[in-house]
Amino acid sequence: MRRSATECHWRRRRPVHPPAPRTCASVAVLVVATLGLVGEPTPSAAVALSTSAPLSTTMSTATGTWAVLPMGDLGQVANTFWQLFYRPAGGARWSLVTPPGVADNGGLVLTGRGTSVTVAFVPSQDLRFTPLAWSSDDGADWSPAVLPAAIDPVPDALGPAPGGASQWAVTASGTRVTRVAETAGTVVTTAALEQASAGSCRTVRVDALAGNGTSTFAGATCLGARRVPVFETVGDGWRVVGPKLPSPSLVSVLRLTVTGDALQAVVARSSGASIVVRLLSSNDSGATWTWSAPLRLPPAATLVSVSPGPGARWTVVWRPAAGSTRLGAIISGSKWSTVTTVPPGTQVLTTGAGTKLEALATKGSRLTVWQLNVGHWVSVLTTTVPIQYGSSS
Amino acid sequence: MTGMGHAPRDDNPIIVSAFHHALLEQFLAILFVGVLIAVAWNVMRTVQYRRSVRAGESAVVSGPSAGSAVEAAGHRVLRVGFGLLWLVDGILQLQADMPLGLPANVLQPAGAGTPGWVARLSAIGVSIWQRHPIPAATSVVWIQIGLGIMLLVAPRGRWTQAAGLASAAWGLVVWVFGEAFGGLFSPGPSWLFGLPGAAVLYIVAGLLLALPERLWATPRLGRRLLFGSGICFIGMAVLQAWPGRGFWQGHLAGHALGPLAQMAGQMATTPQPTSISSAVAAFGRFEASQGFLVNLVVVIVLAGSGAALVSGRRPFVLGGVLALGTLSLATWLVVQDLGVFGGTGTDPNSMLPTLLVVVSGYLAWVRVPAEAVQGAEAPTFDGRPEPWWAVVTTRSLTRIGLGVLAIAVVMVGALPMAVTALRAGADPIVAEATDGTPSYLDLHAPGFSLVDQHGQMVTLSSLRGKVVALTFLDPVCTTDCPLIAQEFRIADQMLGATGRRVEFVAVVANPLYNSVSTVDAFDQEEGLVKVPNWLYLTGSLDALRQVWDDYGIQVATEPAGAMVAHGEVTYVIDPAGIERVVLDSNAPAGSVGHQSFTTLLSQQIRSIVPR
Repeated sequence: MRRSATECHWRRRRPVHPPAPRTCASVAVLVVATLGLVGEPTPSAAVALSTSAPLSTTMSTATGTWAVLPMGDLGQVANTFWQLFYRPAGGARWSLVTPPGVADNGGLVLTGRGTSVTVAFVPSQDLRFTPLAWSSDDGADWSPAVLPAAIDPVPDALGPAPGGASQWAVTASGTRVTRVAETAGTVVTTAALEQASAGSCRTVRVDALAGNGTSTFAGATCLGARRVPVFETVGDGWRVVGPKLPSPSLVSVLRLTVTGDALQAVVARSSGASIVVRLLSSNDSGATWTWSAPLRLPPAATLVSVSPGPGARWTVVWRPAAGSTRLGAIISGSKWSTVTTVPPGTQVLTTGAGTKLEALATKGSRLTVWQLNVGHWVSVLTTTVPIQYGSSS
Repeated sequence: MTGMGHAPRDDNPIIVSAFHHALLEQFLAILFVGVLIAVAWNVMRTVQYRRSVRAGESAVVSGPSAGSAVEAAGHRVLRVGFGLLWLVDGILQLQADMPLGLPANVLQPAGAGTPGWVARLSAIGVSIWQRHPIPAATSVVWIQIGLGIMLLVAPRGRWTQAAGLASAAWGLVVWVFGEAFGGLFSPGPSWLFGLPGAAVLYIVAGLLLALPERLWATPRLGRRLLFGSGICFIGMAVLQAWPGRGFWQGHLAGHALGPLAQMAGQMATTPQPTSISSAVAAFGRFEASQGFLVNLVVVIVLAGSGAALVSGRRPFVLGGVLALGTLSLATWLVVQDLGVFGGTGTDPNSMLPTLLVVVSGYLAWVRVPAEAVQGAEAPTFDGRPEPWWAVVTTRSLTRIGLGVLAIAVVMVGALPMAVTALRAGADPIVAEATDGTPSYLDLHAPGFSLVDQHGQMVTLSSLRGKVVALTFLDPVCTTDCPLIAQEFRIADQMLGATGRRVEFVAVVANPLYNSVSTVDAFDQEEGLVKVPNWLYLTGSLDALRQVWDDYGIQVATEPAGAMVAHGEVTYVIDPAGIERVVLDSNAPAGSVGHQSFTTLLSQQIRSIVPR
C-alpha cells in the first residue's frame, strides 16, 4: 500500500519543557579540543570579555587539513549552517565534507587522531544532546554515533584520549573528564578536575582537551586564575601544569595542541577592557614554559578564529568593535605579525601550498579561498555550497 | 521536500466557516429564547386582558405607569449613545477575520512596549483568545450586542442600573485585556491616538448609568461630570504640549515623519473608501509640513475647552463643548480613520464616546428632567395592592421581554466562553485550520517488525487490542520531532486512564542516525523513558525503508548541514489493526498550535478506543 506523504515541515517551537538551564548553557558552549580546541561563549563573565574562541578553526591530521566555517545568513542562527571543508596534504583544493544527517546550525566541533576525524554537532533549537560523526576516509563516509547515556549529553569538550586507542576524552560540566570507547560508546574511566583547580582558580568550563601517548591535557576558562589553567591527568586525577600568572585574572585557554612532549596553548587574558592573546609553549610536557609577545586586541573586539598550522605557526582572526573589517595575526616563534588587511568575510587564516598564507572567506553560500601572493590577496577558488535556507526554521 | 512551519491566515476558510457556523447556532438559540419570550409575553397579555375584563375594566393598562418620570436628557444621550455603540461594536466583531486576526492585529499591538505587568495581563487575553478563537470571537459578538440591547430597552430603574453595571464590567475587561489600559502605559500616548482608551469611556458611561435616578434629577451630576472632564482635557493638553515627544514637529531628525504624520500616513494606506483615505492622506501631508501649527491648535483647543468646562460658566461651557466636538470629529476622521478603517476595526475608537460623555454632562447640567408624571395614585384593589395585571403596561411588559432577551443574548456569548476559558489546552480547530481536518480511513495498517528503544522486537500485530498512534520521528531533528514527541506525551496525559489502552509509537525517520543508542538518547532528553506506553522503533535501513514506503513517508538526506527531511503524519490505528485516522503532525507554529494538535490527537484517539 502506498500513499503520498505529507510534505515535511520544520518550523515549530517547543511547547512544553523549556530546556534545562544546564542544556541552555551547554548548547552555546560545546567546545572541542583536539590538537586544540575551540569554544563558544557561555552566559558568564568570561563571555562578556569575549575571551572564548569561536568555532571557526582549522585542524591538521596525517592526511590533510580540515576547516570549520559558518555559512549562510550569519545573522540568523536557523539559517547559519556550519560547513566542514577538507584539503588533502599537498593538495590545493578544498572540498565540502560536512557530515550529513543532522542540522548543524549550532556549530561543528572537530577532533582527530591519526587518520580518524570526529565531528560533534553542537545542539541547537530543540535538539538537546550532541550527535557525533566520525570518518576514517577523509570525510568521504561518515559513521554516526552518540555519547553513552551515562555522560552529560552536551559535553563541554571532546578530544582524543591518550594511548592511541580509539577513545575520546569528554568533559562534562567543566569538572570531570571521561574516556569513552569510540565505537562501542562505553565509558572507560572518569577523572575529576575540580580538586586540581582548587586554589589556583575557579574553573568555568573546560575548553580544550588534547592528548599524547601517555597523558591527556585540558585547557580551561578560569576566574581569578593564579596559574594558567592547563591541566594534565595524573592517575585518576589532575594537576595544574600551567605557569604562574603575575596577578589573578580571567584567563581562557583558547586552544591547546600536544605533539609528543611539546605543548602549545593560545591563552587569552582580560586586561582592562581589552584582551591580550599570547602563545604559550613548552617542550617538556609543561615543566617549563615560554611566553610569546602579547597580541593586544582592541576593546570589545570579537575573535573570529584561532587556528594552528604547520611548523607551530598559529593564526588569529578578529573583528574590531566597529565595522565589519577583519584583521589577522600570525605567530611563528615568539612574535606576532599583524596581517593588516584580510579579505572580506575571512573566517580563518591557514597555510596553503608552498607555505603561502590562505584566507577562507565566506559570504552567504559562497566560499572564496584567497592566497597571499607578494603582499596581495589573490582568489584561487570560489565554490558554492548548496545551503538549504529555511530548513531549520 | 523542505517543509515550512506555518500559521493559518486570518481569513482561513476552516476558521471562518466554524465561526459562522457557531454564530448561526447561537443565533438560533437566541431566536428560540426570543420565541419563548414572545409566547410568554402573549400569554401574560392575554391573562392581563381576561382579568381586566373580569374585573370590569374596559381595557388593559397601556399608559405610563404610576410614578413614572421622564428620563433625564443627559441620561438618555448616554444610554442610547452607548447602547448604539455596543451594537456597532458587536456587529464589527462579526468580521470574518476576528477569530484569528484580533490577537495579532489588535491585542498584541496594544500590549507591545508596555511594562511587564501590563504585557502579562494583555498576554492572558491573547492566550485565551488564541487557544479558543471561535468561542472567544462569538462571545464578544453576543456580549456586546446584548449589552447594546439592554441599554436601549431599559430607560429607567434597576434594569438601567444593571445594564450600566454590566456595560462597565465588560468595558473593564476590554480596557485591561483588549486595550492594555488604553495606551496609558504605552510609549508616546496621546489623546489623538485614543488615550485613555475608548473602553474606559464605556466604563465611565456604565457607572454613570448605574447611579440612582435621583442623582440625575439635579444639575449637580452634570456639573461634576463636566468639571472632571475639563480636568482630564487640561491633562491631555499638557501631555500633548510636552516637549520632546515629537508632536511639535511634522518631521523628526533624519527626515523621519513625526508620530502624528506617521499615524495618518499609515491609516491612509488601509483599505477604506477613497474619499476617506484622501482626507487622511491630505491631513498627513499637512501635518508633515505644518506639525507645529497642528499641535498648537490641538493644545489650545484641549486646554481651552478643559478650562471652559471647569469654569462652570454656561456660555464658556457651551463654547468648550462645541470646540471639543469639532476637534473630536475632525480627529475621528483624519487621525483615527473613523475608528473602523485602520486595520481590524473593533469599535469607532475614542472620539464618539468622548463626545457622548461630554454632551451627556452638559445636558445633565442644563436640562433637569421634568417632574414625574402625575398618574393615578397607586391603584388599590379592595384595600390591597393592585395585582400585576392591573398595573403593568404594554410598554413595560415589552421592555421586560426585551430586557430578558438581552440578558439571554449576553449569556449565549458569555457562558460558553467562561466554560471554555477554564479548559486547559487549545481547541483542535487551530491545528485543523493549518493542516486540514483529519482524514478518515478504513484500511489495513501495513505490518512491521522493528526493535524498540530497549532492543526488543516489536511487530504491529503484537500491538493488537490497543489503539496505536503511529508517527515518524528523526531522533536528531532540531525542530519538529522533539515537539511531536512532547505532543504525544501530553496527549497520553490528557487521555488519563484511557491511555492504558493506547500505544504511542514512533518509527525512526533518519537513514543515518537510527541506532538504538540514538533512539535512547532522544528518549532520555525528551523525558519519554517514563512513559510506559511509548515505543520508539528502529531497525535496519532496509526494514525502515520498507515501513516508510508502506506508510508513504518520504525521507531524504539533505546536504550542507541541513537536517533530514521527512514527512510528518500520524496514523491512528484501531485495536483490530485498521487505520482509522491520519493527521498531519505539522501543527502551527507556537505553543497554541502544539496544544491544539495535542487536543486533536487525543480526541481522535478517544473516539477510537472501544467503550
